Amino acid sequence: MQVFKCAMRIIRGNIAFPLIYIVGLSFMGLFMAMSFSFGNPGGDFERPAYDFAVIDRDQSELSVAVEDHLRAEGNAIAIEDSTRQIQDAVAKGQVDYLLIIPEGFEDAFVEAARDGEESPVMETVFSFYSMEGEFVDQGVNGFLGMVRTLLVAKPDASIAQAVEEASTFADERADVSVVESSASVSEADRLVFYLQWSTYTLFAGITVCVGLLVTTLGRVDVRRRNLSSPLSFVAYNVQLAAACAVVTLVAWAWTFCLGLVVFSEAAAQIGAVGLVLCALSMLAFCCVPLAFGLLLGQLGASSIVCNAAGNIVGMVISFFGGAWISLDLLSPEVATLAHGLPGYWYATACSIAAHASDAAAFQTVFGHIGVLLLFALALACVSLVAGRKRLQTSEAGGNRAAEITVGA
Amino acid sequence: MWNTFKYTVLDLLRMPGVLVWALGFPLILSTVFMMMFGPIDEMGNQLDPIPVAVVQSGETADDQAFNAFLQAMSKDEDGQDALFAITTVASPSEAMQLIEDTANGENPCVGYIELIDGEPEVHVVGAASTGGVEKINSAILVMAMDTYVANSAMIKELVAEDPMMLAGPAGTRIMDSMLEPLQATVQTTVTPNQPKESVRFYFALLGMAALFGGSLGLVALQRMKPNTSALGARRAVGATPHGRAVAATILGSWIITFVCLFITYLYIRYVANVSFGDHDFECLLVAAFAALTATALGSAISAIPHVPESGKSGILTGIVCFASLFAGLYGQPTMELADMIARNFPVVELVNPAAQIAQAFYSVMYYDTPLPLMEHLGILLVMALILFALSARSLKRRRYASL
Repeated sequence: MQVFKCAMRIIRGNIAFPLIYIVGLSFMGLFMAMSFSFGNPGGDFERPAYDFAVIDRDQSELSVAVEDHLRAEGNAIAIEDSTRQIQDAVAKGQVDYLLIIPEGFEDAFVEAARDGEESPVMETVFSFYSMEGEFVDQGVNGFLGMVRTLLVAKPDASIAQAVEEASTFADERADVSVVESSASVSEADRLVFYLQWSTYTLFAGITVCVGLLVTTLGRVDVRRRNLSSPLSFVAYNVQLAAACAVVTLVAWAWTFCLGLVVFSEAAAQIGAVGLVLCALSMLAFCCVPLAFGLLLGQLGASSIVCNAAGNIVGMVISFFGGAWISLDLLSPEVATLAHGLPGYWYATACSIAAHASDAAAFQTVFGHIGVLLLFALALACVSLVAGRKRLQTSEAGGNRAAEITVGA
Repeated sequence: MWNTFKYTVLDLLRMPGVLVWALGFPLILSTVFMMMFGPIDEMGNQLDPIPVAVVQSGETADDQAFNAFLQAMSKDEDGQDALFAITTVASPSEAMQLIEDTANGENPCVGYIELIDGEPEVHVVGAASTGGVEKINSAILVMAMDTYVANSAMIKELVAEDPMMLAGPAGTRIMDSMLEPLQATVQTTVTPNQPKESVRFYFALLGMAALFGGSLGLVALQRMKPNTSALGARRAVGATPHGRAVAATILGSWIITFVCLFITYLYIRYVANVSFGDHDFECLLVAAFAALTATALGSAISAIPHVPESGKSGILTGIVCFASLFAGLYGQPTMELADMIARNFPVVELVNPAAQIAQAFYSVMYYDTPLPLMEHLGILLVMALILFALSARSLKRRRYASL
């Protein structure tokens, strides 16, 4: 067990990597999963409340009523009437919607309504999320539309009366309830999101640790010493493989158990069978960075290269797995491309496993696990070939080195 | 000093691992972003009608009015750009079946409406993802129904007050006023460029790319330490004063980080076609300050004692990943999370170099005064000075019992 113990000492000597990638970054996934809203189990529909600001240069009954109407449906953000403050609010996304009511708006509006002319306009500014801005804007126009109708219907009514009545009518709301479909997100999806986001942390963490381990033990002089030791080649490789497997299993167990503990409610919703399938899917996925790290190690990649490769490939795989953005929102070409990477199969397997209710779903999950294992197997084969080739190079002291020596 | 600078640059350029971090990583991530945001930006420009199921109602006046309202919503004057794509169904169960059938499709049905006693009852489907599109589609449906209910209440009240109100030319005017959509707002922009959601991710990416450039400073300064390599030991006994060697090494790392960031900027501008509003000079200035902060970060991490170089590289990665999370790099949900944190805990943004770099790019794009840009550059400079100060002890010439 000397090689195994030595491998564990190497990991301990580079404890920063497992601590940062496997432990630290897993909290990043936790933090994100805890922040998002997953479904509304109460069955009540919550009308969205967006952040808005009103620059009221009119200070009239109508402008105050518009602001009150917006306040009833959103969150008012106080903004000073200065270019810098307004630009700040929009550029930093402090508000979704900014309304500038010009001086004399009320008078012009009343006159236009009674004469049947075009309404005067107010300026609006949308921030980054233009859909939200458009949404709030529709509400403002809807409210003013009612005021206009009341002014037309009651020519003798004052603007104050029209505004008051419009505000009363605007309080009337449709009855809304939430119905669930098989695709609706539920609390269970919080854990699924965490598991899917873990593709990045697991991939980067396992790749870096395994790559570093194999590279360190594969250094030319170390390898020469090991080969000339009484330990058999098989025993040496078995111990090295065991060390890599321990790293992978620890990463898997930590990530999965952390999710289970923190999202216990979600875990309870998924049930034992679903959780076992999710755990198996994650374990199968972990085999992919294990094989990738092995490949990097066999190629003799330095710690910086292992670190960079683990991160870059991890991010790309998590992106194509739909952890960053739903694959439905991407172009069909990109969505098709995602099928060629393990992140997609893992993310889909977790999602199906968490909502599985019949044998067909279980079968699909096992199919996806099979695909993940095939990815790992393919990479492992490539790494073995790469290792074999490298062993023969002059740098590694193989046949090419012998030829050089003989030639000399 | 010149030789130290020259060979630091050459040494760093010959390290593929380091260049992968500083250049390969941001270029690959930019390409990923192009794939990610291209379709979303296009989607924002042409919104599809929202699929809704409507349970067939009777023939009462309320039913007819409601049907007329729905017709107006599902077809504009040209028969295009409709708000809703309505499917009429016979019963609520049929509506639920339609929802289930379309649940996993490209355009899932957002809910169904049933008119009961003249009042619409809306049943919206729970969101199928954490993204905002589905939520806003449901919200639009609900808002349309709220508008109908409010207008319906208003017209009933008017008729109750005066049953003849809707008769004659006056009545026509009232109905016209109610049916003709009012456009009392006009969208304008208060910033030199209209804020665009996808651009924010590129800014966050530039923040991350800059900070990963810190690995150049980390490696270069690590190579200077006499107790870490034979080269370091030789340099320690060389004739070049230590201060000059440190200055040249930092300068070399800074310049390469800057060049890598500049190439990333060019890639984002010309290949990803992200407009920076003809502010190339200001963007270069931001890149220069960002590179300086990144070099200082690398320098500060290299000063951590008793940690091997690979461990320091891991620490740098961890810091950058967390900083990028709070700059909103990892997709729309994280951007919303970053916005929320910035609003409620502004100090988190203040001490986050990735967020400050992203904000500096914002300032270039969205302000017509250089003041905000100067503020962010000032913060980056202060950060760099603090980080260099933290590493000052490690950068000093030191004596060793043996090397």
